[in-house]
Amino acid sequence: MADQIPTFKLVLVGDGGTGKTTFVKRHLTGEFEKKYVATLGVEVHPLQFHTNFGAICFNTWDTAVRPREVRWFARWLLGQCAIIMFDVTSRITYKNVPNWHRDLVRVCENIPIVLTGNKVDIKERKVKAKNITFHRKKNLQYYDISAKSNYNFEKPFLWLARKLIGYELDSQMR
Amino acid sequence: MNENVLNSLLVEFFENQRTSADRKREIEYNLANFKKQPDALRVSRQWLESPQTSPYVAFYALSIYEDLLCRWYDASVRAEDRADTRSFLFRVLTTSHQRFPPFVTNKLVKLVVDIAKKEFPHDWPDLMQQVYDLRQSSLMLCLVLCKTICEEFVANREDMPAARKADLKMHLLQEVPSIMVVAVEVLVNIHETCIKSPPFASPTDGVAGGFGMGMHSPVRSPHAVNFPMVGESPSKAAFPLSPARSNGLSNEAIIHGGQIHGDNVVLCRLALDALHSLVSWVPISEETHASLVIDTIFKFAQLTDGGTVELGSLGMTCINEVMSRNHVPQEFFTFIMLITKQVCEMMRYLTSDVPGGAPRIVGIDATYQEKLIEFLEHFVGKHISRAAESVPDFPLEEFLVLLFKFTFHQPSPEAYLSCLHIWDVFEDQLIAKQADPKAGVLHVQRLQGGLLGLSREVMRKVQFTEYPEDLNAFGDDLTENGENEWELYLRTSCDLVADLYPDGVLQSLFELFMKHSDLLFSARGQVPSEPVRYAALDLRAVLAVFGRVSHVFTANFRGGLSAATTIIERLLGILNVDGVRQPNSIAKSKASDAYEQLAVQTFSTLSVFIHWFELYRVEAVHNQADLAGFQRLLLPLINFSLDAMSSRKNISNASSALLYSIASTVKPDILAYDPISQYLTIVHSASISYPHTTMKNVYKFITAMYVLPHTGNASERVLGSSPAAMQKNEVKVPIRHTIDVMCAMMETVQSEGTQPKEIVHQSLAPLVRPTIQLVRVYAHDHTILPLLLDFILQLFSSLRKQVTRDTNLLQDTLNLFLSMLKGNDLKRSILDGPGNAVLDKFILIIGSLVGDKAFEKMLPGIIHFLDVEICGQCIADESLGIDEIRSHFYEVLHQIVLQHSRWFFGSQVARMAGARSGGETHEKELLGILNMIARTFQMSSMDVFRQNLLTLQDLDSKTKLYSKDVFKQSMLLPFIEMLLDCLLGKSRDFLRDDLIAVLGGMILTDLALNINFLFQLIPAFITTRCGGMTLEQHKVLANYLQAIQDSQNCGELLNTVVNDYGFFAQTAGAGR
Repeated sequence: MADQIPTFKLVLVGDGGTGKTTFVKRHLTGEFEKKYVATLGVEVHPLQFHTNFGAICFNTWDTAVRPREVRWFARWLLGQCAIIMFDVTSRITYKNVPNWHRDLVRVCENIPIVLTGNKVDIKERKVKAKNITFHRKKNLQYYDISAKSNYNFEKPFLWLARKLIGYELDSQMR
Repeated sequence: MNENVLNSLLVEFFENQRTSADRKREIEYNLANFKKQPDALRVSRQWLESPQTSPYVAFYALSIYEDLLCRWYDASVRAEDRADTRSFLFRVLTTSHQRFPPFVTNKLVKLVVDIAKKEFPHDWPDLMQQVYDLRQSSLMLCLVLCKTICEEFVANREDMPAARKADLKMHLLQEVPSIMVVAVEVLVNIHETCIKSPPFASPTDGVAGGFGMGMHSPVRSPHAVNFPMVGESPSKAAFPLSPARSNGLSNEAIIHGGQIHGDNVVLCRLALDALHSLVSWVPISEETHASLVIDTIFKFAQLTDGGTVELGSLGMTCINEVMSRNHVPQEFFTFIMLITKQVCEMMRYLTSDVPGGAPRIVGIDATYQEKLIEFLEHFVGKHISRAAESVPDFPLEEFLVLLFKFTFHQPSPEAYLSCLHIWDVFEDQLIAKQADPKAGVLHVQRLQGGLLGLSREVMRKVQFTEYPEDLNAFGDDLTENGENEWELYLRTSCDLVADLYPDGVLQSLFELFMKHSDLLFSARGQVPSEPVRYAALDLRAVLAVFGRVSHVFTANFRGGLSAATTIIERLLGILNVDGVRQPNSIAKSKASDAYEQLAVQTFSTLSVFIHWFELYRVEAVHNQADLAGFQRLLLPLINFSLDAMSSRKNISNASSALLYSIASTVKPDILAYDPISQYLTIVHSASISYPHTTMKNVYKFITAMYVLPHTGNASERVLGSSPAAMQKNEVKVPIRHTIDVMCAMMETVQSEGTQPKEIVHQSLAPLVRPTIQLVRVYAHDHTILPLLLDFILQLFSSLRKQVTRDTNLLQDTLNLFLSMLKGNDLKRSILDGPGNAVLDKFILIIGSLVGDKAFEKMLPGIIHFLDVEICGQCIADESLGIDEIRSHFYEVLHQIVLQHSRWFFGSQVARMAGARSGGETHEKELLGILNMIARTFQMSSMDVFRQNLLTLQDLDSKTKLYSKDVFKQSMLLPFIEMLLDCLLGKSRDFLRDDLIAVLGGMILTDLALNINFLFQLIPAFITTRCGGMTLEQHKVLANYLQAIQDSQNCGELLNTVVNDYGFFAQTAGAGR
């Protein structure tokens, strides 16, 4: 039965500490982890969602960001969709978004990508909404999110699902 | 490992769904080990040369070269090996790129460009010429390399020392004109071939247009473009922008039709991408061929047809990059005006109808539309005011008419809202120019008619009677403000209408108000029909705007009295319609929900008119006619509000909030009204069934009614009688209800003056101690205990002065908490549940008392208790999961130091007056607090880390903490070491801005001393972390640190140190 669910490889990238692992764990267990422990290597988690099109599964590749960890081999190969995450309370993580985007599209061309600004629940927001313009330049979908408060928690996945299943339907019709 | 084994491993890793995580780790380990083999590079070279190599293997082989790049200038890599590797990789790229899939080619390109980043121009002087030469053999590869060079040479990566980054950027800037020419040449050629002279032009393809906006009319120009020679200096190039063409844009008409296919699309995309990454930062000047570039980009930006619109969007993205600049030199401002004129032609074309059909904009690509809207937003936000001031005969009104048409032709609500945002930006410009004599055409009075037309049209778009299908289609998704899509749409529209021209919009609002309310009134006694439901929904929108413009009536009370009275009477009339106050009295349906929304909005609008009521009440004191008029409105208002208390939750919340506003702001002698005295006899029993918010509002209303002074002579009577009246029956109601009531009473006077507080305190005084005693009784009750703790917190927040008069009460309460929190029981109690609440409330209560002078005497004991019992036992223990409590705890420490700084540091005034010291100081306690803060920088909780960085910054800015002797002697260097460790180790890189701010502040307190300390620290860090760095690298870092002079350059230099340290550490690590 599980084999019949459409499954896609999703790569989750962004600077360390932006909340990628917490975001994935929140989906898996519902718990919110406040501690910061840098991810080592790669962790792949199947995240399942129920959409208007039926169930969909994202095999989410949550990868380490320390340069020495990531350089030796790209884990993003064959990624079918991606989420780039930054932290709205940290300007440097937004400044690095173009690097993540370039590195990503060079390996996975023409995949749907969502840009997410995490931690919007924190009062000291440093990257203001009006200054978030990168997604406009590269035609990405953007969502403010909060893994802590669950704000827009499922939106990135549902948008990707719509794009991916839409593409599939399109290609079936062709 | 041979190629086949490697390939099967890679396929197993990437393609086999059943490969377990453990097996993947094992494969990764093997692959990583292979790279360390001495002949790894030789083998990977063979793989890359072999035409049979699989893409995965090629990809892996390239990753081996990436590792080599990390130690490129290491002593172990000979210069000839570098030259050989570089020419080998460039050769593979140029000769074999077609046999690789894009992900391998891209990686190879990136690798070559990464080598260029290290070697250009000193070791690789002919790099760019080699790239340009590729135009003949592979134009696409040439563009990919140009694009990647443009992106990577200025990328914000920490893969080079800062000095090299600056150097590389300068070299790239010298190449920019040539790169631009390569890209422009490609674009113009394809445009000439496929668009201007399409091979198979359809007979229906044509030239769009008509005439311009009065500035220039677009006509086709026969001029062809001559390109400067690539690689030549721009001054030498045969640049086509002669003075005769100094207005820049070729005056060509907007062309529609033509197709761009296959490789040409890819070439255009690459060329536009390359230009996009350049126009975002290079100077706009003739040196960079800016006129030619923007002219060419704009040719593409006008492509809106199905086959070319993707390139149109890319072109528009590039144009927007120019438009978004804040500083545009004068000569290019003319250019911007010409582009704008052309964009207006686009708008004119898109808003015109396809023969026999809808406006063209309905079928246009959504991404393109977004870009066009973004363009207009930039123009209106950044350039329109300059245009209005400096361009003679700037046709502002024509532009606005076009923007108006463009706005209301938008096919989607999202695009329409984005257009409203442009108007919002325009409105800001108008407001900014209101008092500016140079504003020229940009003035409200001159634009009155248009602004009113805009308001009318925006209001029409929120009317269900006008656009039922569009408005019914909104979904329930919530935005970040907790609004659903329809509420966001309504609020955005109402904000614009209300702010645009408040005096002017009243007339048209009034017409809508009368029309819809007449329809509603006509349906009295009948089941609401669909038109009546729509009228109710539309009234809601109208009332929302009325609320927003209520200040017009307050500002001109006498002049607007008659109109305002009519509005309020109508609002009361709405509340009097069957089913509006009590929607449950009609059958559950869409209509009853519409009535509910209308009732809530009506009560809310009346609440916004509260200051108008207040003015009316003041006038009524001296004027009998006003008194009659005021009471004629107030009585039914109170009646309807009381009646609505038993209605649906949203309605009762709104009506009770209105009653509270009346009692606390208007302050009439409300006890004189019969319905109120009747209501008071049943309030305790009735309020038990109220929703929580309603119940609290009701008690706040009653408290305000009793304790706040009001006009007239009745105040003494009320004050004298209130405490007794307040106490009736209270002991008879359940504990929970009583506590809620008492909390509501205290909340009401929290921000009031002494007298109301005294009254409430007198009323509650007999209940305070018995209530606090209940804490012991209910110490393990999960429902009552939190309420009791809330009560105590509210007591000390609202009635601090009154309560602390009884020092025993304060002491007893603190002792109660101390006994509950002391010893090992606390940890157990936290794990079991209620301990959490007790601890948190205790901390919050300390927080509410912290500003009290009397509290100072207890500080040593409290700080000791916080340190040993609370921090030592719980706060420092991350396993307890008490993050929120920890945050409150550190906020209390922050406030203790801030509000008792003189107690900690002595008096500045005394020192200035000549005293040897500023009086008694309390260093031991301060160090205790700072040590508690320092501990958090080793915790893994991110929030408290961030919070305490901000605390240190705040304490320094308000108390000069870092400059205090006690801090400098005992804490400064340990803090610097700890923060530098975090900064360079990048364990918290996402907090870099905050870390640098705090560290910078500390370093600057005694620059010479601290820099010296840093010099010793950095080598020690390097030695322990990555086995040393060269003397020269150490010197580079030392130079940056030595250059720190003030807060201006400190942040930048510390950032540079982090960058270079990271790079040196990385290369040192790679060399090991």
